[in-house]
Amino acid sequence: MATDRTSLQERLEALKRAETDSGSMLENDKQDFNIDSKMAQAEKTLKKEVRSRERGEGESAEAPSGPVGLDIGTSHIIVAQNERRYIRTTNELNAFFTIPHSKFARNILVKNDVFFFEQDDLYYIVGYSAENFANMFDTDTRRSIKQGLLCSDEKEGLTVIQAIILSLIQKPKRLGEILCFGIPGDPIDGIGSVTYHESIIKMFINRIGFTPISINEGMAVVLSELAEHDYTGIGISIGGGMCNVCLSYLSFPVLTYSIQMGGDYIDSSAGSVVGIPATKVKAIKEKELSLIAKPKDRLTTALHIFYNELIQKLQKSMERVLSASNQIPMISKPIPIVLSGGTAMPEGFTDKFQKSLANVRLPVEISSVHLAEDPLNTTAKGALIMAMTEETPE
Amino acid sequence: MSVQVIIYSSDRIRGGILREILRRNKTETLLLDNIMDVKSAISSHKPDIAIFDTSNSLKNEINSLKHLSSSIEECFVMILGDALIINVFHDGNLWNKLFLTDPLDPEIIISKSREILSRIQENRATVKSSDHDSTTAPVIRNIENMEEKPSVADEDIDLVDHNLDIEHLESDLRQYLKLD
Ligand SMILES: Nc1ncnc2c1ncn2[C@@H]1O[C@H](COP(=O)(O)OP(=O)(O)OP(=O)(O)O)[C@@H](O)[C@H]1O
Ligand SMILES: [Mg+2]
Repeated sequence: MATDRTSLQERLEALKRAETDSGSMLENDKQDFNIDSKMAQAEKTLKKEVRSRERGEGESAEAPSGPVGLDIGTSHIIVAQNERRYIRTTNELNAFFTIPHSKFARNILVKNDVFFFEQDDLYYIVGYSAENFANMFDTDTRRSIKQGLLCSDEKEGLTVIQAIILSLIQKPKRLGEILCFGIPGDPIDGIGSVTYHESIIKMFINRIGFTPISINEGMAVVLSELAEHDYTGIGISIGGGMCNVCLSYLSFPVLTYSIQMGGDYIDSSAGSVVGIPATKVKAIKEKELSLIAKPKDRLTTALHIFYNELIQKLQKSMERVLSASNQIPMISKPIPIVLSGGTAMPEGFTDKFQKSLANVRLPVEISSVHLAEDPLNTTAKGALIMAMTEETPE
Repeated sequence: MSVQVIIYSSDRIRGGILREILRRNKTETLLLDNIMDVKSAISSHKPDIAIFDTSNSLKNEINSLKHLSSSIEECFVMILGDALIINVFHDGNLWNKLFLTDPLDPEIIISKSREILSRIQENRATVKSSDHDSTTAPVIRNIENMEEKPSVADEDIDLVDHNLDIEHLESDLRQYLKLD
């Protein structure tokens, strides 16, 4: 069979041209475009600013009118859509909290526009609302996905994810619109099946009315951040449940894998040492953790320790997986590493990561380490770019 | 533009990379992942080079590739893959073969392809201008004659062809065309 369909590179080039054309159409009456300014315009459009926001309480889902990027993460579910001048993302927390059935509880939930559904005599409070409830009850939220992957034995997890996705998007205006969602790489040491996770989500997305395609999460980071490096480099997403790594060469995901360790591990480990719920640790960590400043108390000391452990484990895994691989082509120039995901966000993380790289030996030379422009939205943006390069089936 | 290089690879990523680097080098390619199609594509497209990437191929696919490669005379064949597997291809016709062991080295593949394609181009031009009856003799054959020695080293270790260097080819060509 001829496999001679256009490569992702060609489709990315075509996308760049198309974006240039639509860009110049907008500005057409104002000025004439020569080739150089068109190229500059294309660069600008592909580098569109990402405007992100949390889904508002009581806000209903929208019907997308173009390709969609979707990031189903352990912590967040994010939808990205392409607007004329920017990329718009809407996110919801991927967490839930259950309380028993009662008329009184129901009235409170409805009155306060809380996002919930009923199942098996329980109210499932979902998303950011769940986090508020957990804090009120001084306990932890539950996760619909553990360490990046859906488990076949937890059917409530899937119901929660479906509810969250349906709160963000509904049936597209054009049936069969492309929706690209991120999937993790195979975990090198953990449990869970990416194939199961991917197939279940595909079935669900299909039922909403989209044509689903998937992209490796690390590859989505490369697509979103490494256009100027010819999509050659290592994209790493360090999220809530896992670290996803992809080595891409000219936009081909030559090597992908994941380790099942992320922000949740840091929160629960630090929490159990200090004796406070992980959900509280998470809030403090997100608000004020700096990896440059000296730890000021027991909690920050613990956070520093577990951050160091995460970086070491991740880099050691890179050393082992990359060295053992015979997939990597000879790459004559040093390549960049780009970091994304919420766990890469604290001040000083990139620096720490870069310094610590000196302790491992990688079979490729690294030119630089930098943080993605908008670490929480990188995967969704990369998935959107992928969706935009795909042709909608007739 | 007609297909200059046919690529066989059952490894989607490696096949894609090969196609992409050649595309960047402005070389027209056809990527196939089924050996049955390769044979017919070679006779219908008459490419100058066939690249057989053995990575990820099954044992019987390797056997078919081996048979196919030993019977091909109308174009150059580059065989890529693990050194142990490539060894299997080391008999029969070697004059039009080039063996490149893993890791995949895009730069070498490009420079070798360029070299072969430009040789063939030159050769085509020379054959055309020197041949009165201008039915083009198979150009690739002239390259065969230029190449007295097999284009691979006999030792297993040095599988990369060094005999294709330009000076060597040039002097052989001159000799063949009796220009000296
Ligand atoms: N400003 C911040 N500082 C530190 N950590 C943060 C910050 N913002 C978010 N995080 C952490 O990042 C993690 C969530 O990141 P992200 O949304 O990228 O993960 P995810 O995509 O949902 O999960 P995964 O990719 O692992 O499945 C959580 O552990 C969260 O606490
Ligand atoms: Mg993620």
